[in-house]
Amino acid sequence: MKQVLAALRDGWTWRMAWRDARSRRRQLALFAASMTLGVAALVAVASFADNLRAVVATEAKGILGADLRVRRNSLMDEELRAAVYAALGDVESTRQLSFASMASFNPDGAAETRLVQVRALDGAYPYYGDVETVPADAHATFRQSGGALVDDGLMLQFDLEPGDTVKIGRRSYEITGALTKFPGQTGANAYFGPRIYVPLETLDEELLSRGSRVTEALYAHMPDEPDTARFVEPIENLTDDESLRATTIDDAEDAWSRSVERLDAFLGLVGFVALLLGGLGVGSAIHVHVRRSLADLATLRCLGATEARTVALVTAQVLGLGLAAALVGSALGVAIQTIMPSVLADFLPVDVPVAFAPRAVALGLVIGVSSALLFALLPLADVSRIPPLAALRATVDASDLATRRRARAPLAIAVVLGIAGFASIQAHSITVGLGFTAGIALVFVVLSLIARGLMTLLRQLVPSSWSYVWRQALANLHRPYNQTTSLMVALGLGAFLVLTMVQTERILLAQVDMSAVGTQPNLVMFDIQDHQRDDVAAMIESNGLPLMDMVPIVTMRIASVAGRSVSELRDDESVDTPSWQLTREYRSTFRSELTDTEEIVAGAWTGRVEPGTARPPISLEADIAESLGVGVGDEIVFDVQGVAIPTVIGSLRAVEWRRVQPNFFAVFPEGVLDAAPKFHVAVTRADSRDASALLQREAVRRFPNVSSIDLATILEVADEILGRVAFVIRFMAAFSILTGLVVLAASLIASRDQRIEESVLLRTLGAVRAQVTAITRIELVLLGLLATGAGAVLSIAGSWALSRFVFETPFVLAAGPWFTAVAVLCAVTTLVGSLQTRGLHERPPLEVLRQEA
Amino acid sequence: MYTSGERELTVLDAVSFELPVGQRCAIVGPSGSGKTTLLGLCAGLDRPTSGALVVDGRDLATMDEDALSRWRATEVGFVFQNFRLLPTLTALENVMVPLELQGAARGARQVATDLLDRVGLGARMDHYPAQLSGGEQQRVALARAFVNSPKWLFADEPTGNLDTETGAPLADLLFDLDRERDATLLLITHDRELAARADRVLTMRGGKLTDDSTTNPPAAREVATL
Repeated sequence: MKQVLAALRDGWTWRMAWRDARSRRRQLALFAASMTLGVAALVAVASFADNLRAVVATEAKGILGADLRVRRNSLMDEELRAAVYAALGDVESTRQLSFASMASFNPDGAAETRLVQVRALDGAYPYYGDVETVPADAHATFRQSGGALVDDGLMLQFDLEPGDTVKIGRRSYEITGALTKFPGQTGANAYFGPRIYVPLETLDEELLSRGSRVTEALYAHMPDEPDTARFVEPIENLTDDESLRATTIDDAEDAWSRSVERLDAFLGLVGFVALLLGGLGVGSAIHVHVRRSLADLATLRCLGATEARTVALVTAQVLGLGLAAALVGSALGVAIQTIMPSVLADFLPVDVPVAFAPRAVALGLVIGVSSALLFALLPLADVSRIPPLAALRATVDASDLATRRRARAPLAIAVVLGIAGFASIQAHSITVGLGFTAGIALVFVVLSLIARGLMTLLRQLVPSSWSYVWRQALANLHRPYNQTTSLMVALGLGAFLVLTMVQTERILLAQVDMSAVGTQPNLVMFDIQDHQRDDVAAMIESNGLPLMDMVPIVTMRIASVAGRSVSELRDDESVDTPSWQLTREYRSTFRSELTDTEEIVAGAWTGRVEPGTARPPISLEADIAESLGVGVGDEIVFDVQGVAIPTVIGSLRAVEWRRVQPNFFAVFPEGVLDAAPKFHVAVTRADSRDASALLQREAVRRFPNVSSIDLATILEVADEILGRVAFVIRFMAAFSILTGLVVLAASLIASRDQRIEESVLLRTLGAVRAQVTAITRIELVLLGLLATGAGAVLSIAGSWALSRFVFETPFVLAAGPWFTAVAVLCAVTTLVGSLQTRGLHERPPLEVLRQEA
Repeated sequence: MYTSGERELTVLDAVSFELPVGQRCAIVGPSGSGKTTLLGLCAGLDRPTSGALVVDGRDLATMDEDALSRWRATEVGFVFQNFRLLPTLTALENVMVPLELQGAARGARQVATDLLDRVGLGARMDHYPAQLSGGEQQRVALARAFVNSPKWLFADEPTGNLDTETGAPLADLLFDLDRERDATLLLITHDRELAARADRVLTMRGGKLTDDSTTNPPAAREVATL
């Protein structure tokens, strides 16, 4: 090692490396190109993340929109609100109530309805950051005019213009303008719940009735306060249930910085996958290069070059190659960075400027050069084993070099550790880095095993009676210096990612779709008050729709589990129940029968108890019981709106959650909660979108506090979200496929001489040009077919595992996308391959034979 | 001894000879008789499984790889049957390599240029091997072999890849240069005529030395004792 480093300091090594590389420039450039895309992806992501970090740091005020935010996930009572104001002192502030409600557009004409997020403000919030509206002054005027600011997406969806009317509850608002940007809000927020801002003082109080999930926030403007953090503890201590949260600008910045880190880590790993594939390409290219240079390196040894010098010579070439790839990749990455902000705009709370990020470029250069070296380690080790005798003997075969497996093992470990190291840097976490390395290694190994398996299968399927052209094409996949396996891994990984995404999308949508057929419910109406219950039921039936269920819901929180209070459990580090499961609001029901989406898995169901039963038996959903660490016979005390109700777990239920109908963690028997404050959920089925819309419109008109959501809306939201996720996956797949194609082009260039020789030989032996061309074409098609086939097989396994273990839905095989993907990738592979082998068969045999001589 | 699969092959068996300094010695014999192995051993390209190989009083079999490399760089010249020019280097650069390996890059260009002139390729110094004919390539290889003024020259079928017309003048050149520079020559050939130009002819058969016809008496120092 020392001697290699010493040789690398010698100018001759670099001069010789340059001389040797001179005549192979085109070939080496293509090898380097395999890594370029990976480096480009890394630099683009890192540059973007650096710029995002900088802008989050400088515009943190604009993200929170105020100096301090005090928030509670429910309405504050007058007393608490007064205590918060008192704690804040005499400062300017805005109160904001947020909740979901039905909005009805153009109520005078053919009204259309949609579940929206209402934000009601009583002050000039936001104090920092930009609000963008059309027209531009709409934000300044909507509160004075008593109008509404409506998300521009909604405006587009319902074809609304400023001046149109939106009705929320019993109040109508004139739309002052369309909202395009609000501090701290990302475009993606709008998919989950499009926003409508209205003045708080105009709000229909009935919307805040029982059951509505209202979030109340107070935004304080204290520009002269140097230490807003001092308010946090006194305010959070105003309640003893930890429901009040105070957030400073620094907290908001921290939260966003963590998000940026996660985004950076995720996208960074995506880019790293492309770099790994490129690295594989470079590794196998160097392997080929070393095998080709065997005689030359042996000659150098004969002429007196030491082992270290020959190793240093190839190392210098690898370093040069890596540096060239890293430089071009970095430049490309800086260019790609310019499109990243627009691509990710929907997920960002701030506008990200495009600026040169030196750290990102340095990272790209370092990782680019070191990955090239890392992946070349094994072929470099072969160089040290080249015997000088190889210059004398044609029989010294390349295979003699790779025999010492024991010597290769430490190098292979070094390569894996190096990958894990880079991955850890990218992920900002050693655990994630190691997990990523293990995962990607598994995928690589499985892909190459499948590819080889398919290759063997194909060999056996092609009988010896098949035409020579087919047999020769198949044999060509095993030609000396072939890069079949690395091509299959690169192209196969791309196919795997694309197909798994498509398949998962299908599985999820099929799941939602299942509710659309047959007699399953597809419309849910919630927040129905006790006194509205019968009228809503009558309204549904008068619309000709079946009332499939009318479920009472009582909100409650857990007070203690098996004798231990929630705060005790949260402080106990040995308890691994997630905190949110202990502190969340449980919406429970009571009934005498099980529904058809439930099944008792332990204990016995009790449908009714006598009123006043001391510890009524309840039924708990099996997964949450496991998470809470309880079973049949354990005690849970619920705090039902101030009243402690001790219960015992009588049974555990498995619940089918995916239906469009209310399901519950805790189901009480009748006789316990009957008199508790509650609201109701009605479930029905509308056979057409029109019937659904008609009912929702009538509900909005007659029961403004009642909200409804139907399958169509769920489908729209699912579609939007999956679409966004799909983009990132496609980004990953695109880099992988493009890298695969570059590796393909490089390997074809590398085997060009060999192919010319074969072509000439075949033609000399009497093959016509069409036969020779057909061999190459079939070889390329087979390559594409095997690579995408391997990716497809793995994606079936992958999406089956996802559907079985993550989504817990039945697996649906959608054959269409497979055929399309395999056909498209085969076509692209053949196209790229044909371009690279163009003119190969044009040259007259004699000319080539003369050159050979 | 070589291992071929499960079997161990004895390639050279009890071969023993001494090569005096300045002698030109040819090794002849049928294919597979062990000529190339013998040449490789003498040049320190391989190690015997048993026996000794003493050059200038040093046993090559006990020298490490780097010491052997340094010895080859300073004292050994090679001519290969298939020329073994580095295809990516020009003729001049190919000839300079041995000197550059010794770290003598400064004067290398002049020495290499002079030698290329001497072998008649002064006008083709910037050509790549692929742009030269077989004979020209072997001339470049000759220039490279002599550029470090070797004490020992090893030639493996130097005319084996050339036709008679091209091979004969090349053989002349080889012996002329060798004589001028007083290098000890060990030459493998199938060509009886070429072998006859040597001072001594060793005949190999089945890994054994079967004949040693010496025309000149041995000098004081021995090259190799095997």
